[in-house]
Amino acid sequence: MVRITGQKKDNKELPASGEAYEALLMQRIASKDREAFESLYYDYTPRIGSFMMKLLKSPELVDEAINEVMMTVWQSAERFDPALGKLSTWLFGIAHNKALKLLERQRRHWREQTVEAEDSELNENEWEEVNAESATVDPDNPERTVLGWELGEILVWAMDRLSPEHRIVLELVFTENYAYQDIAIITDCPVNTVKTRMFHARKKLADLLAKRGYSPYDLQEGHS
Amino acid sequence: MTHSNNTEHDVVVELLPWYVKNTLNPKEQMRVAQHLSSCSECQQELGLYRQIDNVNLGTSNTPIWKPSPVQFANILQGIDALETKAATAATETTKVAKTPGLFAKLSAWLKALPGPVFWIMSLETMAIAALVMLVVGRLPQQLPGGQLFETLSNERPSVTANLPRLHIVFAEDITEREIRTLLQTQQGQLVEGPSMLGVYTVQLAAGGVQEQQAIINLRANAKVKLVEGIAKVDQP
Repeated sequence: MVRITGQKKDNKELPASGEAYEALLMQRIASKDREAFESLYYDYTPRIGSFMMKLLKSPELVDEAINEVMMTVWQSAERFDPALGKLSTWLFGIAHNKALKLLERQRRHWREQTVEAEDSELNENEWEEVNAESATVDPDNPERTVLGWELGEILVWAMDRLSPEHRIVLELVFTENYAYQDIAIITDCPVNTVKTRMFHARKKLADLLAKRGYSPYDLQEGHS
Repeated sequence: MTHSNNTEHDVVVELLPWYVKNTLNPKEQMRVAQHLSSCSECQQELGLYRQIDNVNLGTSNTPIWKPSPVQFANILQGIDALETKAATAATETTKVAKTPGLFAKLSAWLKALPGPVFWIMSLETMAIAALVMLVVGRLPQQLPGGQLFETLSNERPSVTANLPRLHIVFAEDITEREIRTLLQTQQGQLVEGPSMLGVYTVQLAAGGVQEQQAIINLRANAKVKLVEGIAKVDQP
């Protein structure tokens, strides 16, 4: 029953791209066409996998999440409605849910493993505070450049310390180029919540940068 | 920096990330551009967002994930397992639904019989049912002599005859055989009991041992702890 093709097949019956391609592809998957399913796997999972890697940090966890996303696609393909958005938006919505569940599982696991976690509830703010604890340095310390803490690296470091909700919105805006309306669909929340999350993510970033001795002024164009 | 129009600033500052990525609609894009020309705070914010955009959010230190034929094969295996399980469950459900019950089997068997045989079998069945009902209907728990045996827990113990009756309590170690002998010698019969306190009611036979004599006889037996006569009650 299982075929290992090793390559994405050229699916000549499908249009090259666009809404018609997505609609037909999903129709075929809904009718349990495994070739169409394989096309979707090779076309869409690289982007979703990269998005998840930034959140989950573990190839094994990403594999698990992609497996679950693909199973959901196979079982619910008929629920995709091209009128409500692009296929990638629909897939990112599924991926977003799976990633959050896996992150929650990770957090529970960490809590169980950490003996010192006496007040076990690790909320969104604590997540960032705990991660930022080791970040405080003297702003005037010349070692910050000697040690290679350039602005780009500081930003990457700071991004890794954001809560999943804040990290997700930043990724969807800056890496995946989604409009806020699409992000609202993916994260299943109102548009204003998306904007508020973005605002708070930026504020947290600024706080983290300050702990590394950078001010928002450093970030103005042509200043870094 | 003070803002002449805080509402406009608040709206624009929220749109800056999408302005950087050019994913706003043209109207919003123009609105942000106009505000930026006169707002240093928003310009500073814009700098942060451009820097975030340039960094590309950590792609440099994040391992790349790629799809693989092995993983796709695993996914298909998972689907096969799921579908096999679903098909098996569906088959079992159908089997259960299609398996006829005893009544259905009996009906089918009867329908398959030739007409006369069917009617004879039906009449026989009805006759057996009537007989069973008759036997069961005639099975009140009557004792010989027309007396009902009831426990004292009944709210209204029935009195069936105008005969002398005694309350009696036996010793704990008395045997059934000893009770039988005792009752036979006094021509008595247990008609009620035992109560919660272990009291039985004995009814003496008509024309048998007199009540007072029976009480004396019974009290003389070491295995009888208590005997008292009961006032006679007329039949309703």
